[in-house]
Parts: sequence; structure tokens; C-alpha cells
Amino acid sequence: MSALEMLPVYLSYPFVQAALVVGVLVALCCSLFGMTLVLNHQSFIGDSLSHVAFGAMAVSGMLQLVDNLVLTLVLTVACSVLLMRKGSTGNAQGDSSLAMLSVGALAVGYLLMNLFSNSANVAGDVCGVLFGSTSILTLTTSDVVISLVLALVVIAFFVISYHKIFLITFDEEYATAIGLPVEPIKMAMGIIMAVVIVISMNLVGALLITALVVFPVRAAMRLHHSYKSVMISSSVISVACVLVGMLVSIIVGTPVGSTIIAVDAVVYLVIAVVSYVRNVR
Amino acid sequence: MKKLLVSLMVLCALAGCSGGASAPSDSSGEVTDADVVEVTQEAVDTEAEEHVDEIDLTMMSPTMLFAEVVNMTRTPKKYDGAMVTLRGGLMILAVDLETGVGSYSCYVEDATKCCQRGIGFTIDRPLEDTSILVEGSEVIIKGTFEIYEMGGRNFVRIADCEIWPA
Amino acid sequence: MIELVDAIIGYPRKPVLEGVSLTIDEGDYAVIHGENGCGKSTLLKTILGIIKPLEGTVACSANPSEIGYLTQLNPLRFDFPATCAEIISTGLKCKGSPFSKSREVQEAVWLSLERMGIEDLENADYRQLSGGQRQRVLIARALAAARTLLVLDEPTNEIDVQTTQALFTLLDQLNQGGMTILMVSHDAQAQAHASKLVHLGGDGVRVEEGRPR
Repeated sequence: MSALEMLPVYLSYPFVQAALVVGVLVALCCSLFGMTLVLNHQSFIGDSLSHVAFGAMAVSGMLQLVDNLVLTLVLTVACSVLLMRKGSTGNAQGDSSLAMLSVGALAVGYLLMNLFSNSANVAGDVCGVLFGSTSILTLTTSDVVISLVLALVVIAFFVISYHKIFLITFDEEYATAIGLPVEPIKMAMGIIMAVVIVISMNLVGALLITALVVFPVRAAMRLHHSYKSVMISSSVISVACVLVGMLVSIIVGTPVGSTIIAVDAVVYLVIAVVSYVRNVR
Repeated sequence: MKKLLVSLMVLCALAGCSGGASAPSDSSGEVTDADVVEVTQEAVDTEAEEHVDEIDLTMMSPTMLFAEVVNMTRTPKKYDGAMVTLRGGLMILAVDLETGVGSYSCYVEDATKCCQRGIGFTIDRPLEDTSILVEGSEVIIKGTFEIYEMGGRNFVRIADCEIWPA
Repeated sequence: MIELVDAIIGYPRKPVLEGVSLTIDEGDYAVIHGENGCGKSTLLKTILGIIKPLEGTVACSANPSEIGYLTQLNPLRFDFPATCAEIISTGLKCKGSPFSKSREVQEAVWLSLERMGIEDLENADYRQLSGGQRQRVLIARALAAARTLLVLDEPTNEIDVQTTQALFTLLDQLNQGGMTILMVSHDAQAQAHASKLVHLGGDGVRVEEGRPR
């Protein structure tokens, strides 16, 4: 039986079906959230938080928790809220604080993991968490349920708060002047950011999350000029790339996370070229 | 706020990833608990919606193979008694080297080749050719998936296997 | 409508204006002017609640959802993918259901586009506009939202003489219709139209009231 002929067999597995559903919803969350992150020039806050989430996951493992998603969420959300309260990263001090947090969490976490781990294959465990090679296909039932619920909450938040988020992202001062509750919404965005990052880790790993968030939005921004079109388009691109990436990795046998990002990158390049040619004409 | 951030960093940086792969054999040559795949009582008690009678894992891509082996240990009841064919690396645990009868582990790698998951298997009948039993070599095994109890704990393995070089 | 009593305006550990006492009544056309860095925009933002006063009281009785506000152009937003209609209408759409397609909002947007003479920019890409066009879009946004109070921070920046003239004519009409106007402007024309002139200088805040227009 050829690799492609095995696809219907693979799709009959419950864990593959669950992975595809979770993957699609996570892709949707990332594209919705990515708009805000990219337009606020805050892509690296997401990167820093993913490194904190890696460390938090390591703590869960050390504590031998039955479900490591909960503690990872709590710690990452706490860090995100702290970062949001600290304010804009538009200055050099904020930028280097992020770098310190990001690299520090990654390095010290890996160091202590090596010193105190009870795992037989520390490097393998780290590799899996950082690059998401098969994590999405080995989700526990509670991981699936929590991911689905959180993803639906994130999507509902963005749909209901669409205009408020648009306005706060475009012009925070104006939003304050006309009476929007800007600070609570920004805090909610910070929590959402942490949630999206944590549920995305199972799909592409901690190191590749930024790409999942940024590529679809940047590609869509090259194609469209209205906010609504960019949002819809980036969602479609993100979902399509995740689906294609997951199916290719399952059929061919490549790591899931990096395959998805490779598809994202190729799609972005194609769209960039098409957009360039269109503009030149 | 700075103190809180530093405390968070230290907290986040503490200790290890939860392991799952079976450990390599100890130097005594005896089969230890670390050499076989333990499953939780909850996993054993979980009733499967359907039962698999036979599964050929050699047809699967490395990504799916690794994921399937992990999921087999999560829902062992689904595969209990199933005929399983598996390709992976050979690890010799406690074996009579003249007959080949004994306990082994077969490990599979994920697509990045940095994560490994092993599953114990036994050869119960003497082999005609024991030269194929080379530590680390790639082999194909075929046997019966079973859940068994030892010392009040549950484990899974593939029992009464046939073995071929891959 | 707006009252400041002995207010200290500025940022934490960096006061900009001290002892500010000022009243803007309903129907006033007030223009704030002064040298660069004297705190004009900071005063405006404090009145609108964007910045908290360091001391004293600052009260604005206008309903925030009836305020139109022109902010200064933000270069960080020049790459924001949105049509001009989206930028103008989003503030209005925040007030209602997220799924409503209010005819009222669409009409308000179109009216403000007409008033600023930028009907052709309704579906234009904000990223591709010139500085003057962006300024006109943001003024249109303020006009669409304003019901009782229109606050403008340097509205004549980047726009041409003809548009400036048309803008002041429009502001006069709105003020005569009951709209309170509060403006920060270094433009002499703006000061000429004001019924109340607020000078910010080294000697503090000086208000010139009852000016002929």
C-alpha cells in the first residue's frame, strides 16, 4: 500500500481526527490573535511567552502532574499579565527585558531539566516540546477537551469584540477617549495571548509558535487592504496550511510542527511574489 | 514587580519534562521494571469503543508509527490480544543467547529522531538463527499484544513474537 | 461641560502644567495654543481621561460615546491594513452589537467623507494614503462620532490651504448648531475662529473669553 493510499486508514484513527480538529481550531485562534500581535509590532512577546511556557511545562513534569496543561496555562497567563502591565515594548529597556525573560527561561529550564530530570531521554523530551514533532497526535483526552474549549472561547472573544479590538489596536487613545474599557480589554488580550500560545505548543512546539502566528497574517496583508478581508484571509491561509502540513507530515513521516511552518513559509513566499508581480504591473 | 518576575523565571526554570519512554536495561542483565512499558490502571480500565484484532505498523510513516505506539499504551484494552507487526530498533534485555528465548524491547523513533518510544516483547520459542539478534539493529517482530500484571502494576508487551531482520 | 480646578497635568514624576483652572461651557469654541512642548496635547488628553491628572480635579460631563476626537497621526499605524470606511466606522460600531450593519452608521460615515471631500477614498487602502489624506480620514472619523463635543489636536497638520479653509467653515457651522469644539492649534486661523482662547505659557494658563468671531 502506498503512503497516499494509507491516508484513509490514518484518518480513521480517533487520535488523528482529534488532532485535525484541534489543529484547525488552534490555527484559527493563531490567525485571529496574530492580527493584533503583528499590527502592534509585538511578535516577540509571543515568542518570549512560548519560552516561558516551555519552562512551565518543565515544572509540571518535575511535579509529576497528571495533566501538565493546567499549570503551564496558569504560569504563562501570569507572565503575560505581568508583561502587559509593564506596558509597551517600544523602548530599548522593554525590548531587552523581553530578551532576558525569554532566553533565561529557556536556558535555565533546560539546565535544571538536565540536573533533576527522571526521564530516560531528556534531549528527546525537550526536542518534542520545542519543535512539536508528534505532540498533536499524542494528546490525552483531557488535553483535547481543554484545547477545544479554550479555542472556542478565544474565537468567541474575537468575534464578539471584533470592533473593540480593531479600534484599540489602531488607536488606543481614541478608544479611551470614546469610553471603551481599554485596560480590561488589553488585559483580556494578554490572557488570550497566553492561552493561544499554550494550546499552540502541542501543534508546532514552543520555538515555532511565532511563525504560526505571523506568516498567515503577513501573507493576507499582501493580498488585501481591508481589515476584515485580511482577518478572513489569514484565517483561511492558517487553517489550510495547518491541514496540509499535518496531512503531509502524517503521510510522508516528517515532524508535524516544522512541516506546518514550512508550508506556511512557502505559501507566504508564493503570495509575496504574486503580490509583487501584481504591483509591478 | 521585578522580584515577582525573577521568582517566576526561577519557578518556570525548575526541573524536568515528564518522561514516557522506557529506560534502557540495567547492567545486571535482569529484566527490571524500567525495561518494560507500564500503563496506568485508568488506561487498563478504559473500555475501547472498538477492538483491533490485527494491526500492521510496518506500513505506517514514522510520524504515525510513533503516535500509534504512544496511543496503544494509552488505550491498551483496544489492542489486547491483537496480532501486532512492528518494525523498530532491537534492544536485548534478558535473553538466553543460545536459543534467543527471552525479553527484548523494540523502540521506534519519531520523525525528528530525537524522541524514542520502546515496547517490550518476548520470544517464547527457540530461534533457528540467533545471528539476527544484534543490539541496535532494525528488526520486524510479529506477536500478540497483551496486558499483564507484575507486582501489582500493569504493563504491556508483545508476546510470543516471531522476528526477522528488517 | 469641561472643568479643571487647580489641576497638575503631566506624567508620573514629570509634571507639565501646574495650577490649571479652566472652564469650557457647552457651545464654546475653544482653542488652546502655546509653544512646542508646553503641554497642549497633554492637557487635551487629560480632559479626555486618557491621562490621569497628578493633582486637582478634571471633569468632563460629555458622554464619551458622543465625543469625536482627532488624535495626532501615529507613524506606527501607517502600515495598518484597513479601508478608510473601516477606520471611520469602527468607533461607531463599538457601541452596538458586533453583528449589526447599522444604516445609521453607514450614513454617518458617508456624511463625514463628504464633509472632508474624500468620498473617493471610502474603500482606499489607508497604507497607501499621503499624510494629508490620512489626516482628513481621521478628521472624518472625529466628525462622524461627535454629537456634543468635538476635540481636535492640530487638525491643520499636513492638510492643504483649501481643505483648511473648508474645515474651519464646517467647524463654524457645527458650533452654531450647538457642538462644543475644543481644539489644540498653532494655526492663526483657528485662533481667529475661537470664542475662547487658552494660552499656555511660562506664566501658566491664561484664558481669553468672549472674543469676537
